[in-house]
Amino acid sequence: MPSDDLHQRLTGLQDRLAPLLDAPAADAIVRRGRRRRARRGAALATAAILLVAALVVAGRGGWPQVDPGPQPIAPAPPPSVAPATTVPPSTMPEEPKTTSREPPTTRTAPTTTRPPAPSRLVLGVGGLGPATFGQTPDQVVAALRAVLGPPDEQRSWDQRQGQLFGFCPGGNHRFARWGKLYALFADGDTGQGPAGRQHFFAWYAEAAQAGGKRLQTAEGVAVGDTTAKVRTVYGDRALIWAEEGGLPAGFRVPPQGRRLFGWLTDHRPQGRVTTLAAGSVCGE
Amino acid sequence: MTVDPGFEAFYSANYNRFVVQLFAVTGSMHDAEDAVQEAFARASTRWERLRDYDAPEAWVRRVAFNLALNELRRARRFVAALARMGPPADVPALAADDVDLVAGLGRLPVRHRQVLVLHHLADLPVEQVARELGIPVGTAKSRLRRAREALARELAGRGEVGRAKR
Repeated sequence: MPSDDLHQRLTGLQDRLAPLLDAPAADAIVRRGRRRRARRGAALATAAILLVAALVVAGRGGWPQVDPGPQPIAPAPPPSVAPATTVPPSTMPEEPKTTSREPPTTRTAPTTTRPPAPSRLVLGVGGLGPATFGQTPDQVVAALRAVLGPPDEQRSWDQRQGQLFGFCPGGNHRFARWGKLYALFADGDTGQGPAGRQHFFAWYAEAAQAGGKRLQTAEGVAVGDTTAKVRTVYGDRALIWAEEGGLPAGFRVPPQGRRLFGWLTDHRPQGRVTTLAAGSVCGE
Repeated sequence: MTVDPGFEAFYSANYNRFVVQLFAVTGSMHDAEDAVQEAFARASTRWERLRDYDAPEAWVRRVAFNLALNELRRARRFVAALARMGPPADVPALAADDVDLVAGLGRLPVRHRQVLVLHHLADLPVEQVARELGIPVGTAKSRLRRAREALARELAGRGEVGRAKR
């Protein structure tokens, strides 16, 4: 084992800090483990019930409006094509995701003309393009489907574990994902919609594109842009901070009111935007 | 509730050490405690098997590291961090040197923090560090060397880098 200065400082950290910590009682940890196991058991049971139900329905002739073949769901058409379709609002299925149950038969009824999808989606402080905070998951997914195509994933997450997005208001949470663009929904009081009804309360983007569309703020900032560009675009409105204590460098615009958030690889000009977000933040 | 005395002793002997090790990697005491508690919770439901392992603590540490690092890598706890905007309130007071040390670690790539923590804090020989990380011993050695150099530079250069206003 090394015995140099660096080693002394690192081991010293352990020696000094460890005695200051208060470990929870062992029985609390054991209870946490049992709760987790019970939740997993319940989730597996639910999945089994859903599977059995699906098999039963399939045995009775299948879902009424589903095409018989293994036809993949087509993404939203490119802007140059005027697709003669009406796309119904989607539903938010429980886990596991059930995108194969989408009713593609509606695509074969050319009754209306949808305007060409735009080439970009605006990441706004009030929502995502046509989808605004406070709307229901169905409304949001339908609005974004028209721009980005069908979501790649829709599911709930257990916010009690603080997984994925940390702890958020309300008891039931889910998200819809297009590539690395996430729309988050909650039924609690998030400040973005009514408590008791699931609504769109936050988004975040970890890529500059989704569904073939460029993702950028109204001012043109996207994931991958430099910190210098953030400074140029937002000027004094952007509050930029350096990485500290394990938290990455980041920025928010404007400092008060409805905010756009971002993470940076570095607060200096050469840094890059890694994540953009807006809406109600979740607390620990 | 009756807790297996063997698990309780194992938990008591390792909890604080693991939290400090995770804290050194994540820079967040809250995330460190959460990951370690979750790892021990999972261990408690498997204790019948784990207790026969040569080193059950390696299993718990690996689970805790994976839990914490997955979150770091995926940056999905950013919203929680945004809400917090600073170190959580329940972090024990650190000496100035330790604050610098943790901040310096936080500026290193995660893979560098991992090897430093496993080798220096967890006191594991390089061969075991390599096993725990699933990398060749030579890679672990070179990574450790680069990590030490990088941390030394960070600690030596503290204060030279201008900070943005907060």
